Amino acid sequence: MYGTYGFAFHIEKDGFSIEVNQENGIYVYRRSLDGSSAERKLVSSGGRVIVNPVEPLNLPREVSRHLIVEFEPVSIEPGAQETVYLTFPIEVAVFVAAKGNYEVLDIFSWNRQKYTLYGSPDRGLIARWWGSQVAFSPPLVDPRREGLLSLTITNATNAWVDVSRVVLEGYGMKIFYDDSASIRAWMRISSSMVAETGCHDAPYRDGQRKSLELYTARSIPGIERSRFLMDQGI
Amino acid sequence: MNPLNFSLDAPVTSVSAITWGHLIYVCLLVAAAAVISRVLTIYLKKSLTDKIKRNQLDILLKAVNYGIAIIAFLIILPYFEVDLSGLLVAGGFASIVIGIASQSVIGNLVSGIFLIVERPIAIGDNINIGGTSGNVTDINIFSTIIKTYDGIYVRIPNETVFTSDITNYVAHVARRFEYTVGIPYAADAPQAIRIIRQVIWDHPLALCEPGPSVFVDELGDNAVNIKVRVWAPSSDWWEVRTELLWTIKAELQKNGIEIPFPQREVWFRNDLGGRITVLQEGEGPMPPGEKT
Repeated sequence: MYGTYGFAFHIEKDGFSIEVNQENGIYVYRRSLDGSSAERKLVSSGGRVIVNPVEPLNLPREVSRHLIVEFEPVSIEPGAQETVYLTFPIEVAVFVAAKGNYEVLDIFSWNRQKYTLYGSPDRGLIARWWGSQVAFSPPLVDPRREGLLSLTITNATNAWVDVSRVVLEGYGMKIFYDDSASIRAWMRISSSMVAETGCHDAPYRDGQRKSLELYTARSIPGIERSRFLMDQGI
Repeated sequence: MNPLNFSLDAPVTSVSAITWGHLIYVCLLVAAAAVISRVLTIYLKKSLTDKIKRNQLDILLKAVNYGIAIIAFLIILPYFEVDLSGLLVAGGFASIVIGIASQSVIGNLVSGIFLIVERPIAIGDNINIGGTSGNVTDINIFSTIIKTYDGIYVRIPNETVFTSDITNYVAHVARRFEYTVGIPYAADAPQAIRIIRQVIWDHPLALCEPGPSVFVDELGDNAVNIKVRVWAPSSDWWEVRTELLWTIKAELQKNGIEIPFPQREVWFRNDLGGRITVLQEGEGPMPPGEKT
């Protein structure tokens, strides 16, 4: 499903359809998924449509720019570095590209969204919540719903530390895709309650393409941080 | 009588050292400052409108405009032979005189400065100050502007704001709301609680943490009252509250649990000797004089 298409295309599979057709001289974008639908009219002489996974922070509306993935607690020994494999929720964006500019046509997802509070109401933040199994080898994922999140955890303390969640900043989220999506993230633990997280700007495996990012396009260069300091528990 | 001299080096008046050249320069500077301010405003609006919040953009635009005005003012002052050091001394005396003469104005000014430093409220916040509720649309140096939920413009002097109780509904990122749901005594309360919990779980913006709280709170006159407490993002709590309430009602009804009406059972000590007539639908009231 992911990829670049010319105007006038149609994809249909398992209750999902997406298409751009020319009607009465203008192009019409239509998408339907599990009873929900979207339609946009495009006044254009032609262009490309790009479908790729984006930062899962847009539905049902933009209320947060952080993703929190919770998993079964993992104990990390002092000084150790370990990679664990998690999943993250997939949101798919449809862009229309013409004359060097991109415009978001539609964002949809097969997942239900759920949000949570990370930290306390006065000092914390709202984050998109996702529960994941934790694995020590790459798990099989349903590419429509989940992407692979490989998280390299470094315990820089002198004590055993339990980790059960990771918070990622939307501006720094780097998603790569082929048939499925993936993120390579890191987490550096500096105390039993504090860790810094971020994403590598590199694919999980060769041949993956980088997604067009929504949050980077919205950001002000030099102001937004791509890393996140988890200072209210890990 | 000397003829008018409009050369650039000629003084504008006989008592001033300001020349026509200075005047033109000052006018050009003012025009340039206005143009720069306008261009920067448009540029910032274009480039930042979709990137930062509206209130932050307003503050940034204000800072830029005031900054340009102050710089232009400081550049212009020497051309009018204003000695800045002298101005400071004069300003000191002037501020004392003005302070005594206009205590309330100064009070508002100082309160405004404290409000800006303490920041109990910010532009865009949803607040209640001294009984006035609404959204803060502007915080000026002398007053705070509120747009009430009815869209009414209210200007509150900063001194009043500073000395009033301020309730800021969105100072924290999340807040809790609650309602009471009554179910019949005959209904299965644990089942109702399960249904309500599922409805809350299905709503994206009803937060996972802090988790919702659903429990039997009261055995009321007409119903078993279940208390429902839910946390939501402060920015969206009202939508969540209204959406959830109706969904809970609909879901309970779908599962055979009706929200009970107020009702009263009446027991008679003795059997009533009278005749009981049941009115069919569409029948009128009893004729006068006829007793049941």
